[in-house]
Amino acid sequence: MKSTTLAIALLWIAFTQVCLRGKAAGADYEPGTPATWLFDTGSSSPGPLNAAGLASKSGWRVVPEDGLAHQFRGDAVFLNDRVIVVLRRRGAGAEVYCQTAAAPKMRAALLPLAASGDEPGVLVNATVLENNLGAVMLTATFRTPGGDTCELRYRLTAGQVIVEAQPGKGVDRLLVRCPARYVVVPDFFGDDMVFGSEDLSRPRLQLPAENFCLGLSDQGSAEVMCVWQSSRQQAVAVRSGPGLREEGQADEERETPGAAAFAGWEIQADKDKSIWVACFDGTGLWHQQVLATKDALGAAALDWKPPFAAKWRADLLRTGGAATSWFFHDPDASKDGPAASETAVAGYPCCFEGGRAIVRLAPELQAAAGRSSLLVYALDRSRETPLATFCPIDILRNTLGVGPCQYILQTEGLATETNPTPDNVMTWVEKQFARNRQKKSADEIRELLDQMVAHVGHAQARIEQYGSFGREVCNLCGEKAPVLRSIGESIERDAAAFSNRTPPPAKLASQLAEQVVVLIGRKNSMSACEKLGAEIRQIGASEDRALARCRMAARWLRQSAAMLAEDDSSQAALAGEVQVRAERMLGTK
Amino acid sequence: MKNFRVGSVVALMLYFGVPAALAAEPADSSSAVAPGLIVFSSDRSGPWRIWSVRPDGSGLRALTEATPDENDVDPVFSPDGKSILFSSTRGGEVGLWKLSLGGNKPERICDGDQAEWSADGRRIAFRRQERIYVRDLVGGGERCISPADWPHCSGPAWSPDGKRIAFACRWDAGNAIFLVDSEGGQPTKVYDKQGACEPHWSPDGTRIVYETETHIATIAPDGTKNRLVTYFGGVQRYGRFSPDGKSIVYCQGASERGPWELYIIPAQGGTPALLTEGNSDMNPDWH
Repeated sequence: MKSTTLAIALLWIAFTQVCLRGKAAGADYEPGTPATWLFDTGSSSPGPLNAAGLASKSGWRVVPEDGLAHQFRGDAVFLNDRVIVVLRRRGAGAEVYCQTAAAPKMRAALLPLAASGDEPGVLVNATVLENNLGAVMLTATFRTPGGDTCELRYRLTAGQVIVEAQPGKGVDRLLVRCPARYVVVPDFFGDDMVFGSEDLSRPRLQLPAENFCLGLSDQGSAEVMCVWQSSRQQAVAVRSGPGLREEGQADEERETPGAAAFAGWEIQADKDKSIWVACFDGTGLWHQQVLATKDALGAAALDWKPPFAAKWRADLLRTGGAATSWFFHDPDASKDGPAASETAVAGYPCCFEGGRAIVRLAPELQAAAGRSSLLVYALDRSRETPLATFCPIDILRNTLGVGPCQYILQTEGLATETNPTPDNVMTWVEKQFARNRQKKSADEIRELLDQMVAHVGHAQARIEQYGSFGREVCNLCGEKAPVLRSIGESIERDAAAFSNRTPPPAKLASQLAEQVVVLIGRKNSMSACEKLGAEIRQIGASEDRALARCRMAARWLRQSAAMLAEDDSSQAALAGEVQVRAERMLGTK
Repeated sequence: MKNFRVGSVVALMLYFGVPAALAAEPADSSSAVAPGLIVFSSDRSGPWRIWSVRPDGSGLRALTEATPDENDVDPVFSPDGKSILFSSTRGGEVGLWKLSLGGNKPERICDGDQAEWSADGRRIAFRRQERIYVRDLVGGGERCISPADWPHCSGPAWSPDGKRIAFACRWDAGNAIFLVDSEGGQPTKVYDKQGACEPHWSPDGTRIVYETETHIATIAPDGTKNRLVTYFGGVQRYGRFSPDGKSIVYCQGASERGPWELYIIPAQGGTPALLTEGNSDMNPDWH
């Protein structure tokens, strides 16, 4: 009797286990693996799912792999070990959560906006396009308040922190709701632009971003990155709630830790062009600190340590979104950050020493900034970065493709198949000297040096074009539009700082190249070649930086003109003309 | 889009040269004939050379030597593991070379690169002028099996049953992986998303490992059951199955410019193990 009872009990336990697996989490679901899984929650939730519901998956069923005909009874949830995406029936878009060690945290929502208005629609249908352990992709159909329908495809791949959104029929813009304390427009070669609450004098800020931007939130523990395919797509940061800057409010008050200045972004949709949103989560992902004057002038250790090895970016914040940027120097890393600013090369304003982040700001830097608020975040990985850790440049590679390091040259139309930049050419030339092959390779050395000098000349000409453009904007604006005029002045100033050097960079590059050629016939000339190489590379670094600064400023001019036109109808004609000219300058290669 | 595919490595090396040579003694290649061996190309000794290492990281040694101006890349084991094919700039022209691991000197086969053996070892598939060819190793007869109007074909990989060849083709819109009958014919598409290229078969022929723009993935030959194997930061390239199909060796780079290190990861995905480091190690093959 006892054994029968025991057997029945065991059978019951086994039966309930099978049922629970099937009902709760699906027979094949393996939590914590990088694979992608698609669930049907069985019933629709009226509000965003909470952490407990996401963890228990009560009532959820796994949609079988390659089961593309599935009809959802409840909400659609797809996930991997890093991210959860929820598409709620009657919801306004996809809610994106980060899978953290403690509990899932909602970090963003991706909502389609129709051309007819700013109110997102509600989800009326979701169909499966791709469903396997490598990727899940759904088409979501929304009905707008005006009765229109629009379609948006969402895709998540295994192990990634990126959600891809492909705007379809009826979508005019993608609204990315992601509260952020700062919005950063990084520039790999020049200075970043960083916008905080103090830069919000209007509800919508047109960003000077070419293809991506970052939102920093949750007191250093969250970042959301948005990437779009075409530089023609407009990106707008949307202010968070009411509460404009109040007169007389101190910087410290406005920099309340965790206060979100931005509600998110709107990215203009473009036909067949994807928009990607990546969510990063972890302690110390970014750090902002107001440096006391004495610390800024001396050497101060930040109240922050890097949570992982990477190329960490430091932005000394100025007003109006401007910043002075460089990479932290890491003496333990195999290579310093690429294209660090001249200031950084000269004296390492920021460096890691014994695991601490040390800042040494020259007086002129502090004076230029007006205040010493420093923002730190990881931009690119180094060889030592853990494999499973992603940096923004990883996301760029995963979305736009490899080659972001060539970004400024490609954007400016200066990249070529052989790419004879000073760095590339001198690396090759130095190898010939190191192998004592300089005589045998003399013709190739001369040819490549010629190409390098021509390349510097082209870049210098382009920078001079920017300088002329800056002057043109100043003349056009006069006293009528001081904001635009000041940006024109900064373009002219940055261009002149590069082009007005004596001798001019192209001439200097030519002189140095001639000296390299002279070394070809000499013995033991390797060290002399390396010395010349360092000088030639410095020209290249300055050129990249000047070009990047001018381009960023021209983009900011274009956006500022658009905002001026919206804010002040009396300036609309002038602002429109500046926009047209800025567009022409950016588009002319 | 990825501009540099496997064969472009040779052009890249020719253009940018290689670091100063370090002392590197070619090993007695006869002792490298053993199961569980990985061959790869490396610039750890200066010029690009073919090296081998055991899957546990031991036994690292150079298999080829040449003049400093000559570079060897893309090694592939013969089905019996006694020879390797590789691409080389020896003699000034990019060509395919065969090295018997029994100790003979490398033998030039023909112009071309990116070669792979048929399962019976009698033929090779390779790339020449961005088209895919099959060559009879005994008679020397050749046949182009990629359509004449397909512009940028690369990376042929022969199925274990010898019937089909997987290869990649690049269009303006991106890369895609195709299958074509080994006798030629109309290719069928396997996968065309995320810059898919560099296909290579599993030993049982049920999976194809390939690379996306930045990661290693596997897929069934009919285009179903797509699986991302690596999902790490940086760039992962050149995935190749182990002889038992349970693991994949691949290259990991901090960026698309390298430097490249070899890692081994379970074929289903998982935690990778570092196999080599130091300079750049690329194009692994495992027998």
